[in-house]
Amino acid sequence: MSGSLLEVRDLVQVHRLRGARGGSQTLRAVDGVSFEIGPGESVGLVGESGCGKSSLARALVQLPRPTEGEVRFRDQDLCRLRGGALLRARLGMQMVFQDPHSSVNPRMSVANIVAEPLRLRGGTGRRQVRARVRELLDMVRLPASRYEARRAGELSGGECQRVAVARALAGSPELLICDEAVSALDVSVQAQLLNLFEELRSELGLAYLFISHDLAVVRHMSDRVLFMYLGRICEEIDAGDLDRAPRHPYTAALMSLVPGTQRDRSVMALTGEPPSAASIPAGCRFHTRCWCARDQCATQEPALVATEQGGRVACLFPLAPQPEPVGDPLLSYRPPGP
Amino acid sequence: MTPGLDPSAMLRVEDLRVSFSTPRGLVRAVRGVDLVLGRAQMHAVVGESGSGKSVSMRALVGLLPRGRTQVSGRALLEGVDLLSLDEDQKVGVRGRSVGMVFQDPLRAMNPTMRVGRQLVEAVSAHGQLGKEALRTRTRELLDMVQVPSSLRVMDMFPYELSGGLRQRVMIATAIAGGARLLIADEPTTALDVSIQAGILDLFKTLQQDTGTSVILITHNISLALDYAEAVSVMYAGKVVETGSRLDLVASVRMPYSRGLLDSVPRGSQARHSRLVTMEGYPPGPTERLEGCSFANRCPWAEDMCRRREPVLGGEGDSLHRWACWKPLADQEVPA
Amino acid sequence: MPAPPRVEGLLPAEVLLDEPEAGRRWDRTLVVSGGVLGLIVFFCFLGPLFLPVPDPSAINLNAIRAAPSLGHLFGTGSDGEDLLSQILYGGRDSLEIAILSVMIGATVGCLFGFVSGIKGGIIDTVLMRCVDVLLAFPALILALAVVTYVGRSSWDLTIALSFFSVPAYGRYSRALAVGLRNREFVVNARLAGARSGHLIWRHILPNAMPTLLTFGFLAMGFQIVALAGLSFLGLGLAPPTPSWGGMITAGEAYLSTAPQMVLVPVVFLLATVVSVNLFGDALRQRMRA
Repeated sequence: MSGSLLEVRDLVQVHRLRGARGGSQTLRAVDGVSFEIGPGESVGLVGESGCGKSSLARALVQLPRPTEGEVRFRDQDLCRLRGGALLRARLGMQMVFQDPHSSVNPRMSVANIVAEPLRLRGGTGRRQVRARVRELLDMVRLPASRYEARRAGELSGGECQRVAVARALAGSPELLICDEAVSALDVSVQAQLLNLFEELRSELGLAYLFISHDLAVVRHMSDRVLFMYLGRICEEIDAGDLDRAPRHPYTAALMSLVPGTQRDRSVMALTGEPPSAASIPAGCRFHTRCWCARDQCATQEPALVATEQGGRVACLFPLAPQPEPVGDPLLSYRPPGP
Repeated sequence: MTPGLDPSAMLRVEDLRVSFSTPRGLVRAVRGVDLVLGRAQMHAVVGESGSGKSVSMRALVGLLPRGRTQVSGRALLEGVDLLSLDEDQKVGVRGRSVGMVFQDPLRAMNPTMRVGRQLVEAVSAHGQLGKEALRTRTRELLDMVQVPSSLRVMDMFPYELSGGLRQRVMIATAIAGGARLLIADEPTTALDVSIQAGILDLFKTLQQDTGTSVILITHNISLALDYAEAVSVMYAGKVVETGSRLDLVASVRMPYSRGLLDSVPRGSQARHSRLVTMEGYPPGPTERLEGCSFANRCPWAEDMCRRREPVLGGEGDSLHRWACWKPLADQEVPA
Repeated sequence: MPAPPRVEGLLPAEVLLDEPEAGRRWDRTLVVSGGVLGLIVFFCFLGPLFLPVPDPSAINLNAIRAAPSLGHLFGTGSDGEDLLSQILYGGRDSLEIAILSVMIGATVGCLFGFVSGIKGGIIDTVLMRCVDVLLAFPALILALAVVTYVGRSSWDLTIALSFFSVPAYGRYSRALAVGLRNREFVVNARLAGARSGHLIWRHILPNAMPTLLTFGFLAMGFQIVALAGLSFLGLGLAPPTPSWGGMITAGEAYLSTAPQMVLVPVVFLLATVVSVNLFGDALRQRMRA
């Protein structure tokens, strides 16, 4: 327990929405989530829209505060802290968001953006701040001489995202939460950013919570992957086991949908659309879309239990490990059938 | 340079060029696109932002801002040059011969009008039908896009539908006029992965059942290779490589295409390994280019590449063509 | 929700097309409206210093309601007073009051609004209720009340008129703050340890400036008209202090015989308000680019 950097226990986030026709709806965006991230570990979080992953990310940093649960960062429960204590305790966790242009104040210069966390913390002289800014820009491969003075509004998406990362690193955080950080970028720029994240991980020993809907990217970036569905974790699995041994039908189905995969996706077709968190199905949340649901699934909600591979799964009838796919899926091409 | 005469080609685009005069100067958005689309074929046009993929396809149906746009080249749809039509004829073409499906159905639909009415409007636009016939036809269309009648979609407003359903309705609208060619501009980018597959499968079904041809514009090359029979890769306003999916997978020639393929993390790659990336950025829209537009980022670029612009060419009768002076050999691994 | 990756690289060609003809069209509006406004301001504030303009209250019973002539460029009023000088002096007062009242209203309003928007919760409710109280009063009645009970000096009028803009700015700036507070760069600033004051000063205000500025110019136009209205009702600056509204009142009865008495102030009011609005809008376009 004390070895982990971040420990989340029974986190619940409830949103109250005003319905379209009056009245209010209660949305349990995060409905009891527990997991851990160790120092230097990269954990992926995957899910479709409405699964609550963004709500989870925001709840971790207390913006806004979760309704229930514990978020222990460096052994301090952020949910119980207030004001200055919270600000200080939270400094070790930084976020990188999806929209690069919205993540940086378009009217500020790059140097000021990156320097802001340093200035807010105080205690650093002007020369030191400047030096640190240069160091950070260097870390994200943005030559300081060319970028320092430019206004963020003039930069491209990839450049903005690098500035956002540099700013996030300013306070030497230990955990970087990337909420779809590369999803809005062109593929070639995305690859550059992913490489950057890996470099930073090895250079600085950063831990990551990498949130994305793109399984190919998550599989590449993470040590472990959490799959969320309707506010709960349905599977936690080692990234290396993703291809061969997904235990939860949802995981298997999502893996089959990764372009270029060998798996016959017609077998694992997910029926219907992702339901809304406002109306959660009875029994297993996933059973309405499950391709191998049985009667029991409609009445009994599975608990998250440990698996032999060291992961966790919430399924009454978890899948058995599957045979290894042969060769490079992309090269040994198989036309899909409708 | 001109593709071998393929009698079954439904659409033949020759040297399409599009420029805009903007306050910042002349923007050459499309600098030469050649494309051959067969019947009942799905052809993916893959490119990143700024590659000109959307602009070129919209030029085909005349959906570009008038006045400051210059379009040249030919686009023969079953013999008729789309680019030489006047405004009224272009409107006639849209819907009757060519249907367009956009990325964001919410924006393409009137939020204050019920879905049923919009669909009926689309149907009526192509011929007056009696009330009964209208109802049958709309029901028919919804069946074709696999929207069950039990859902009573017709009475709903666009915002009440889920993303996937909305897109299906959009597709129904697009084929309402009997179009044989569908141009889908990033139709699934805003949808969840599990819904994406359904929509793309729907396109394949339409392709096979009704002989409709589809141009799929996307930034996702893996998706393109999964679904399309032919793929064209665009960079800086030009098609830099085109061919069947096998051609691109097994014998990709143009370094940019290779770069795109490498940018996507693959299962066969070791996790956490470094992705092979292309350094630098694509040229700006107003930049004047000499030689190959990719030369400044290409690890194999030579003098010739910087001086003369490569033309799209291939070997023999094969439809696999590329625009590169130093094409990659089979399975060449980048340095 | 997976997002469309249209962000990277360079602007897709069409986006460039959407940019306002930044070089041309708006520059023209900016220049013309700015020019007109500049001229009016210049002459109203500095004109009397070097132009041979007679004292606005100088009575010349020999030239009552005279048509424009060389001696009196705009003609004269009922007491023979020179209309040109009335316009200039009256304009100076109007503009002064309008500008100051907007600035005061904006500052107070934004203070309420930004704090409200950023803090949320109880503070938000309380502050906005205060603003709502002000909103509930018909602005003109409020101004009338102030004028009646407090006085009609320049300062009193300025304060009275500033009430007009406080609630509007309060609500508007709150909406801007609420819109901006969820933008990721604000969240990031919080994560970096920023408190509300820093957020407002460094992040909210600079980004809200362009909109607030346009709003300010619009408000100014409104204040000028409101002040003229008050003057027209006889509740503005007390005579013999000249004012545009007062000139209209005075000339009302003589519309057929000496139309210049009404027309001149009306034309100036129109020119000022229109150019203020156009200028504000053109400025906002510039600041956005």
